[in-house]
Amino acid sequence: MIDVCKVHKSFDNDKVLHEVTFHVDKGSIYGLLGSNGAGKTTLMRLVVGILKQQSGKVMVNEEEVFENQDMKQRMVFLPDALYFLPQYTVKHMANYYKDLYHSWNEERYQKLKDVFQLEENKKISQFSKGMQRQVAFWLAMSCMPDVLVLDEPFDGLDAVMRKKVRSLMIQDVAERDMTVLISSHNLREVEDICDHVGILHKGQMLLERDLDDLKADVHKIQVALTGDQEAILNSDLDILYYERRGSVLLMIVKGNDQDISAAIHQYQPVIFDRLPLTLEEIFIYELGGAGYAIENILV
Amino acid sequence: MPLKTSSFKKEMFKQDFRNVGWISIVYFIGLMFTLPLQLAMALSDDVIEAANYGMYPKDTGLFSSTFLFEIQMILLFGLPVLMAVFLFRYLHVTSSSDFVHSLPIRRETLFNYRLMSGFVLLLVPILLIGFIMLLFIGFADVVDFYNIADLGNWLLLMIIVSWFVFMAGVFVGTLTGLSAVHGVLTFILLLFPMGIVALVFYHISFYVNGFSGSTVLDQSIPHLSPIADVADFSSIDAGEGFIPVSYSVLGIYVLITVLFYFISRFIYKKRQLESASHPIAVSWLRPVFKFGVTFCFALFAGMYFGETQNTYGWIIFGYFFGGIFGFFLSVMLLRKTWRVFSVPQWKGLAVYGAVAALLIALIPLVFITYENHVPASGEVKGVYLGTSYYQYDEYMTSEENQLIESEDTIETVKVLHEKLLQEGDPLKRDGERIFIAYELENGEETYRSYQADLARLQEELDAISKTKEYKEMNNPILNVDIDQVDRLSIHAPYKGSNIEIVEPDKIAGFLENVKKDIYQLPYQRVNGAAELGSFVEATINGEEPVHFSLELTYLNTQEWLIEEGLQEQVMLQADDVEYVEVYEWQHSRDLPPDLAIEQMKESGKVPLRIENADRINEMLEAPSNQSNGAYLVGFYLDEGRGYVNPVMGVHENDAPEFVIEALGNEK
Repeated sequence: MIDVCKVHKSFDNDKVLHEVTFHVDKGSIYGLLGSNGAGKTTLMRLVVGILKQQSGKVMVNEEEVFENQDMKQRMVFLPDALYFLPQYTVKHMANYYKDLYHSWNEERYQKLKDVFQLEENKKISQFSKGMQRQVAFWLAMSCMPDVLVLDEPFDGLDAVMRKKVRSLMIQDVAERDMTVLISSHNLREVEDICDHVGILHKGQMLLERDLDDLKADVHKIQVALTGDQEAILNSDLDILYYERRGSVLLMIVKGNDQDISAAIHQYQPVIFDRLPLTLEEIFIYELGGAGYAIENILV
Repeated sequence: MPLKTSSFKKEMFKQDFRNVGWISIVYFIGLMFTLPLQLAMALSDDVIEAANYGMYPKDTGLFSSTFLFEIQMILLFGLPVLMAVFLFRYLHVTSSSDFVHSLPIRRETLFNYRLMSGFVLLLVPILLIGFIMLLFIGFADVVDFYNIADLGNWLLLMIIVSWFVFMAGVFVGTLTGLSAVHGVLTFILLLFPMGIVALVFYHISFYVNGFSGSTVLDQSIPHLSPIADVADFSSIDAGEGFIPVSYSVLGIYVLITVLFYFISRFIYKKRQLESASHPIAVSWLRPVFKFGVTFCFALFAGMYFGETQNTYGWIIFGYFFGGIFGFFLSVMLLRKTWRVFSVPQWKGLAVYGAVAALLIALIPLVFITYENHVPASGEVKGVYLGTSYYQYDEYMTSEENQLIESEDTIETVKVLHEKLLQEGDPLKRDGERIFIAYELENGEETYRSYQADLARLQEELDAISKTKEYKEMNNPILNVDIDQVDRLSIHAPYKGSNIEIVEPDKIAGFLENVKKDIYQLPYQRVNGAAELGSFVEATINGEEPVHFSLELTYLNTQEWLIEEGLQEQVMLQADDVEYVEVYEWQHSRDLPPDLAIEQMKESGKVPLRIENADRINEMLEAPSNQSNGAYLVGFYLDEGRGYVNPVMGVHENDAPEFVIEALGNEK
């Protein structure tokens, strides 16, 4: 759905993005991660056609997105710093969107009113920051976009609202194959909703991964062997990391679940446990040296 | 504009109205105050006003003082700029710019919507006021104030100029990224063509002897700026259906408005939106802006010091001072900080300085053929010799627009011109001005304007002043048929007397002697009349009256006046003056003579006091003026006259011998 290919963008003489390439499938939720100043916001402004890249291509649904009115009809962008027209109430804003987006769904809008429980006729500027973000979601979801681009969307939302918004989003992804691009500087914030993540560092795409694959592919196991521990370390297993805790061996192993079990059982372990792995750990272990950089980037 | 009704987005207009509707309302209230309300007030006190409005000169029409023209102009140039600034402010704030440009609407469409909002919101108040004023025509007697043609012209001008200024504001808005800069730059843009042309021509005139560009342009330069052009007029005696600028100028405004539309639309489509909050949003324009500001400040400071000091040293100082000031000012603006004094900046300034110095060195070279050019005799069809382009222009539009055409006289003017190539000094601001216009056989015209010390051109000027043609050109009375003159009135300002001559034989006697005297006058007398003389108005049957001055040096005329017993009444003479005081005029030269002489007295300077009647007479005969000279001469009239004692400036070469001997000369 979203195809960004070798994009360069500089502001005057500052290079902000350099040879950035990434791809988001239709119906997937893509997490764009990176520290402050990595270029996430700029990349998103390119994806929604606000800015124009110096070179490379930004395609949505196989069309250039810049100045593409039809394509932009199907996209909604929620920026980091929210903007509402001055002195406007939610109702005013809704009318404004209704006028601009053909896909505006009034029924949805009315339904969401109950979800968010916000006063429709109050000036938006009088709402708190978190409430303003809810208004933004409310309006965005009522536009029924095919592509939703969110820059740091969960800032200022309380846990309950965060959950509500997430489920709304996931519901749309499931029901109508909506594509979502989310940026965040915090991996933990997005790991449970994203199916893909990409890490942007200093204007370059460091890596892109499918989270499901990743989770199925890397395992943290704890083994206690009666015999020689060295034998297992020298076996065919793709061990990313290990640690001896007395007679217990803690390993991060890459590979198919069944293959690993079979291999371990050959050594007749006294203890064989699988432990949960966080996404952060996966990155750190999988990438080795580069992983430590990520640790610094993402926290 | 390409707006399809099917996709018409009324919410865009609604938002614009919520955003900038107040400007429209302020415009309406402002115009309401200046037009209908003023009219209602004028109509209600009809006793006084009506009497005034029957009077001459007439001050009518909707641009007249009744309708507070100045306030109308402030509204006309202020509110459209405000409209542009507020309407396009969304482009200058990152968050609103991102919001608007993420919406499914193309930039071009967005731009057109905004423009439509601006145009409509400016149009509505003007039309409403127009309608109210139309109602007044229908229901009240307003013929003394305006008629339907005046109203039509008012509507036309207000709409076109409002839109034009708005469009100029939009154009600037697409170039800048800061709202504050937006407003200021718009006004600068509206004044810039006038300012830069004036500055550049002024500076060329410092370096090029005989350069006529600045004097010629002085007359037409306000046309280069709409603000100056529209505001610079007087509704006095304007007549019916009057409009401050001509229809053709309004046509030009419309054309420029259309041009601005296409250029700004193009820039907007190409605009890098991340440049919001940058003073100059288009990157290639930044160096242009930086060095443009530097250049203008250098020229401005150069002009200031040149004008006050009249030496090249000070002018160059002005360039340095103004250039450095302007350069850092512009860099500060671009960087939005005052801490800009880094090494690369100084380097940039040095490069600029080198280029500018080269330019200054090259100007005289470029103009070298211009400076040395005197048209060949065969090419010249006619020639005009006077003091200024203004005078020439007046002369050519009058009925007596005969140029010097005899070969001999053209030759004497050319001799003078040749001499001026050496003697002219562009920095001699207190010198006499000489303006020469050649009309060439091929229809072209060549102008030269010099400043020089006339004493050094004596021989050449004498040769010219002997020619009949030159005299006739500069003295309209010489061309008047004496039989046509109905009446002469002679006014002696310092005597407070006025006499009239109506008898045909006396008119003839007087004028014949005047003509004889004028044909005998030397050059200086033709252009520099003694202001202590009297003034004569000759009323001519069915034509504009002719004015000329009458001086003590008109010997034949004076004799005739004595014979007629009139001299006593019409001329200020030695008998009227008790004594004369002469000071060397060294300081307080920028003050008028009457104030300067007071300062001289207070500073305790000892004047040359003249009481001898012959010498007083010589002082009265010397050409004098009210602005400058080497000597300051105060005439103290006999007590009990009750009139102001005249104080005059007299140039060194006009002063009698005994004054120069007693006070020494200035140099």
